[in-house]
Amino acid sequence: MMVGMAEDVVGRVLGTEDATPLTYWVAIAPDAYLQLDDVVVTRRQVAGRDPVTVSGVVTAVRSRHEGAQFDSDVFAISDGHLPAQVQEAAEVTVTRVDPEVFVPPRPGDAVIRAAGEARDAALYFDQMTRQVPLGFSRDGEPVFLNADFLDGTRGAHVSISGISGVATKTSFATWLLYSLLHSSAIGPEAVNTKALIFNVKGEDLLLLDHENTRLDSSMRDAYQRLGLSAKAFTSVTVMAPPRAGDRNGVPDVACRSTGVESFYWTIAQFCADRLLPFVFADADDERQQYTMVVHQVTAKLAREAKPKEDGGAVIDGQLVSTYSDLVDLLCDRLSDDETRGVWAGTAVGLGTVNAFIRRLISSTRDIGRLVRGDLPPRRVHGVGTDHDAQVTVVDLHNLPDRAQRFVVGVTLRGEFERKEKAGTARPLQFVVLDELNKYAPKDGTSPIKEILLDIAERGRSLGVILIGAQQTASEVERRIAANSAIRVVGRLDPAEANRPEYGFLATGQRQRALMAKPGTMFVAQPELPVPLVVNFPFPAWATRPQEAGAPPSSALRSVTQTVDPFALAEDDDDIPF
Amino acid sequence: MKVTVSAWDPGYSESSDRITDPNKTRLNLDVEVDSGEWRPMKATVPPPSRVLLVDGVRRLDARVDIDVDGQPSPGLCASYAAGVVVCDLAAHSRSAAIAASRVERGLFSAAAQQDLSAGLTVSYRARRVHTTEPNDLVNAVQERLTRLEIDVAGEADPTEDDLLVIDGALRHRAHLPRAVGFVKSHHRRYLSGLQADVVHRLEPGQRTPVFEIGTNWRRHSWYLRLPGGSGAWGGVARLEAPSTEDLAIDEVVRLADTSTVVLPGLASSAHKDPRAPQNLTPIAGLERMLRAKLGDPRLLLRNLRSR
Repeated sequence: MMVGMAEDVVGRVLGTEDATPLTYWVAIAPDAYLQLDDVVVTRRQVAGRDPVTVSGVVTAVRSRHEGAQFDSDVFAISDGHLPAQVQEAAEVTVTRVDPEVFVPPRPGDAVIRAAGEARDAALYFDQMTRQVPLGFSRDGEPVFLNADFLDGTRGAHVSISGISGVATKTSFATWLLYSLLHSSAIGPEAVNTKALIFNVKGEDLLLLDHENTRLDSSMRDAYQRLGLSAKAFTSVTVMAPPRAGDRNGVPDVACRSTGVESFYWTIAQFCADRLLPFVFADADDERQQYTMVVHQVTAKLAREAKPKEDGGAVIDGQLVSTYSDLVDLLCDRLSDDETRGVWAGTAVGLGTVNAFIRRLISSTRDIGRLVRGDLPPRRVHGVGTDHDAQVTVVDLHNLPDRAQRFVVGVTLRGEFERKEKAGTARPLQFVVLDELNKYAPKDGTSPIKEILLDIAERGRSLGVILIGAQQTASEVERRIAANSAIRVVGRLDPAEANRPEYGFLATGQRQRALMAKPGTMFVAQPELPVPLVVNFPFPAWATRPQEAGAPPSSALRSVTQTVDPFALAEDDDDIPF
Repeated sequence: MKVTVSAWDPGYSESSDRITDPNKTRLNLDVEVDSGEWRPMKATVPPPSRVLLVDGVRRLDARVDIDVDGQPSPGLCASYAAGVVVCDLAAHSRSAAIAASRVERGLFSAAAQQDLSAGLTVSYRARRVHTTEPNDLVNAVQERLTRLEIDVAGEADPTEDDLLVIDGALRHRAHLPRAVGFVKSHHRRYLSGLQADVVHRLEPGQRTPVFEIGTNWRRHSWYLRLPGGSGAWGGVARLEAPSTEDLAIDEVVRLADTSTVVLPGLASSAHKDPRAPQNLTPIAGLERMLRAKLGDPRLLLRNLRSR
């Protein structure tokens, strides 16, 4: 692999610290410098073998006065009284030894700043046949991700950690999607690849298809250098819950008026698809006795409900067209001594039934606007990726916690089942979910956690790739984090940074993660023993209404067009001429 | 009676001072002012932009026996180094750096072979001494070091505004331009009576008038008190300047004034250096760096023993 590079010698392996095949220190020449994340190469002769090339990344740099004994000597030195030498040194963490003869570099060996092919080799880019651009390293050179570890070929799933606000977790997740879909890494498959993004905070992700007006030529240039064009996502559907109390189901979104569809489930769907358990999807709920009642009632509803044309259902001889109708019906059946046995099962105590009723009633306010039987029929309403758009954004930020869990749980189950039935991993389905510590907490169990675990463990073969984000990886189910091939860390909380979940970060990187600026991420990928520090480009799509350019033409169709115009007319309605 | 600890390790000796025969010392106290008008003097000249300090260190690595025709002859393996540190005191570029340094290793003995050397990987070059007394071998090392110091001082190339401070007596180095010798310890007290009293009365940063010492060689000299000493002779250093026809007495006084202005600022502090304040900070730093260049004594000894 050795290379005809211009030898830029920056220093020599120093002999006052141990040099090992995994890490060594470099004394930096007076007229050179090394900064963190620089890539360097050194070579040594091994008796009877080919020369060994040891490549690495700078993980620490230091400078000190040689010749000073006391801290106060620095004053004498700067006053010109005491001779001393400023010596800089850098710690190099080895990324690659080629050929694999694990011998330490020898003190005095020249260390060369790696460029071109040597840098690609040091960072394994030469082995990545399908490269997904990640951004730029500190020295301004592009950094890549191996698509094999993103699309399930050799690994899948991404785990992004960092504190809220400055870690830019969701920005990185969308950037990663953009990069994957617009680079040549997965080839023509990119066209059919779908992504489902849950928007949990603010309306940040609802403008993915709007150009960012703050993008200047240098940012466009950055995209170009990564082999991408700076554009907004082209094919986006935004789904938002119906506005609370609105009888027409108008989507509850402030920042855009076009290209938004409202999502909800009909009463008939709710019963037939057995969605009731997702109303009780908190880990707390699962520990209670009444889950037995939940499953009994769910089964009974699935058996009893007879769908009506408008999305409502007739259950047990009674028309149910709203969620509160349903709650009333269930309360009535469960309170009645005669029907309770049929609905809740025979061996259930009254206290348990009452606990269920109590929680069911309290769910009315949260779930009421999502489960409807009172809206025009045949309207597109379900959340899913089985429509044309490549990226589906599901807006949850206006919903209370219970409703968020309901939407996430139901949607994920739907997608997972759809992929399971499809029987093929391709086209890929990406799921971007923030607040993973809420949906898949370390302790306890819930229906959503079961699905997420399923995705983490089987999703790779089914083509469902989870891009999960959380503030604290330590509070997320370990099996989900363990199954993530790619781990990304933005700015971390100091207490959090010391947890073993971040053991993949080098010591210096843990400290740096405390002060990582927005747009800087530490990306660990399986091939590289050291996480790479990446600055990813400014989004080419709007992340807030102030930045948004003109809406794309696809979003300009009005909401009414999504409704089948003939559905409003009676069957025997004559042609009006 | 008051006892003041002279912070002076007897191990640091001035060989050239010691060999002076006291009976032959002739003093001329009327060089700068009349001997009757001696008083502590202050200097008001502008400080030099650069001060160059020359020093050397030596280490006796091993005593060896050399087999000369069946007869053992004593020899001495020594490493020694000399260097010059340039203190740039101009306000805009304050720094101190080693401008030149040299390290030598020598095998000092009376053996006649020219090609004699010791050590496999690090070689000690033979240097012939004409006696076999162990003390003379040590003196030979010192003399060789002095030569090395002269060579290195020559490399430093001081300009007209600089001050070249040579550690120890000036002796063989009197020909160097702008040079003053800096004698730290006082095995011999040259002054007595009124003049000695002037030394006692010196405040830090003051000097005595210049006087002339004539032993087997002649030189100008003056005492200077550095800050940080205690006792009557604490912090007092003696400086020497050449006494030749090339150097007018005005020039000598100017050198004395320059040294009085600049050297107190370079005095070391007691908690950092056992030889404070006379062992100047740059010289201490220079010695430390030179000692580092001498190499590891255990490694050198092993090198000498491996045959």
